[in-house]
Amino acid sequence: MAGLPRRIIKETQRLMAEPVAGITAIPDEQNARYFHVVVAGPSQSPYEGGLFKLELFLPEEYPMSAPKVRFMTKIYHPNIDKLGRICLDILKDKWSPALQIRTVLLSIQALLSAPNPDDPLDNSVAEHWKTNEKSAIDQARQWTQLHAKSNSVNSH
Amino acid sequence: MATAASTSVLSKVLVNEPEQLSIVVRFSGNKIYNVNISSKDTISDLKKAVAHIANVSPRTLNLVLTGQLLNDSTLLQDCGLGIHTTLHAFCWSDNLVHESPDIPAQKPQLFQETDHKAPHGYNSRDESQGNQITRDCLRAAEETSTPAGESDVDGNDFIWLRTQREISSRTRPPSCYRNLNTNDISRFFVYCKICDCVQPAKLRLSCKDCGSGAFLVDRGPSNWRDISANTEIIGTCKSGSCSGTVPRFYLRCNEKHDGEVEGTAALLKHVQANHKRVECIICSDVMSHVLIFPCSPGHVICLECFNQYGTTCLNERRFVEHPVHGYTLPCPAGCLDSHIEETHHFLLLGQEKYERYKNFGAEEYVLQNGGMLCPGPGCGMGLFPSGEGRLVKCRECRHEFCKDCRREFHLGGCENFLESLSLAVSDLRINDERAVRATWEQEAQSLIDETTKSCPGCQTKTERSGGCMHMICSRCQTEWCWICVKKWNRDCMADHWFGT
Repeated sequence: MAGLPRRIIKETQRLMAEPVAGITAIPDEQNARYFHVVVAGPSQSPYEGGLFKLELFLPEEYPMSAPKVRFMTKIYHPNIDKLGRICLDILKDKWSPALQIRTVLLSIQALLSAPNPDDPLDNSVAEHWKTNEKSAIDQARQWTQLHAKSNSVNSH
Repeated sequence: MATAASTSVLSKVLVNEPEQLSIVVRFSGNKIYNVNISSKDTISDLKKAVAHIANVSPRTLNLVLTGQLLNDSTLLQDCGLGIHTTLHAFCWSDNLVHESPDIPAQKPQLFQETDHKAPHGYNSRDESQGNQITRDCLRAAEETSTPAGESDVDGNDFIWLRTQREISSRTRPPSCYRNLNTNDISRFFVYCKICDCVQPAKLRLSCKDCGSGAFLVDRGPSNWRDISANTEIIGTCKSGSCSGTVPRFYLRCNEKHDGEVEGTAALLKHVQANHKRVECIICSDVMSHVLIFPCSPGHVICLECFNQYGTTCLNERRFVEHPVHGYTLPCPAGCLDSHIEETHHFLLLGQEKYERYKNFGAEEYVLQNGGMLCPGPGCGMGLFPSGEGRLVKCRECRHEFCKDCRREFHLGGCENFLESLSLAVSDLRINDERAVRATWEQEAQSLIDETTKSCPGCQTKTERSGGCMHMICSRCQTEWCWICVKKWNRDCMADHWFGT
């Protein structure tokens, strides 16, 4: 494997030394481009109390192309589909090499605080959100209890 | 690896202090003298040597470098002369000298005598100072001039300098000419088309009318416009009978090139030495030479990352069309209205990509202004079809095509024509030469049809190389669905965003 670019090393060091509140990102022992990420559900959101596992991969072209990120833990969210794929502009056409792993994870955390049913990835969830927000939020809360409690993350 | 590559680009930085200088002096525009002299000698010594060869009085002789008179007591080593620097010499007229025989002909007050203002201490520098115009000159002048006057000219000028004020006010020499050793901090950089790389460069000027370097300017340049073709600086040509008053500034690669032509060194105004040792925004390495975007934070990108950033954006057609700066790159941090302001910076991507950049820029211009590109094989000519009809004839390759479907011209609706393409060949009347050509095109067309789909917005043939079904056209920005080949909508999102 080609040497790891200094940028990735520095980003990793900083993520470890100054972690973002509510987020851990640990590089895989075998592959320094693959990160095990855990995002805590933001308070005052239906995901509060949940710990959500994600995988983050830095492709060869990084930082010229965006990291690949996916939720591993099931989550009821209009912008995240059942396979964990995320609808976030900075992961696609709005990516800039000036963005970092840190900014990506912060954006994902913000997406949990502010679901956007008008730009949905999962239409049925989005529809649920728009027609009966309270019921959708209840469902999200239930899924959090069911799939994202800390013991279920640890048992992985 | 990154360090090595960038260093090699700039490995030819000229940092020489030769003991023995070989100076070329151009006298009265047409005579050229070579003078060998020690760098420890003074301008006065050089004048004596030149005067001896030219058979004139050294007191009447004046030496000019970049629009300034050189002072007698200045040491040659302090003039920032390169190995091949040319100085320009001229004599005061006899009567001027005769009127004041006891006063050295060359005085700091020269400009007052000729009734010219000398702002920014351009010619009233103290005797110990050298004569090289550097970026610091622009910086020093910028700081002493009124900011309002500056922004009147061009609000974007010198934004990058403002970001450096803090450090420069502490470390900057009191006058721009104090910076005698032409170290990298104050260097101009050019893309030298002869060296085919980034090089430090010297700012030079000549008379716009006669091209002579024996030209004295009233003031030093204080912003980028001053050294552009639209300079407001005036002066006096001292070459023979020329009465030119307008200087022309140009940059010359520090390397010696035989028969060098002006215009082979393109100024890279965003490139400079990284004396503040700022990290590159992309690789986070501290590189020796960097490119600074003109946003107020002055985002820094190293030359190698600029190459990668530019190449990626070129491949993805993510350059933007700017009303003033043309087809260019935005600051990677997304700062508003922070763009590369001089297209020669894209020479840093290499000649091949620079050519591609120019083609893309021209295409973008055509498309953005309602034109279309000829679909003829290998053509791509920009066309602005007039009239209502569907027939477009390329004036370059003579290809005739349909304005709507961009296929070769046909009668009847485009859909009928597509069906007719699948008719048996035997149904057609065949001209041999034409048949060969049509077969080839047909084959190529089939391949294109198999591998691409047309953007529903602009008909551009589009290849999908992975990712989801949500396409964004790099030409017209239409968002469309790869499966439905229609505008992207919520049903596409729900049913087959990822093709599942």
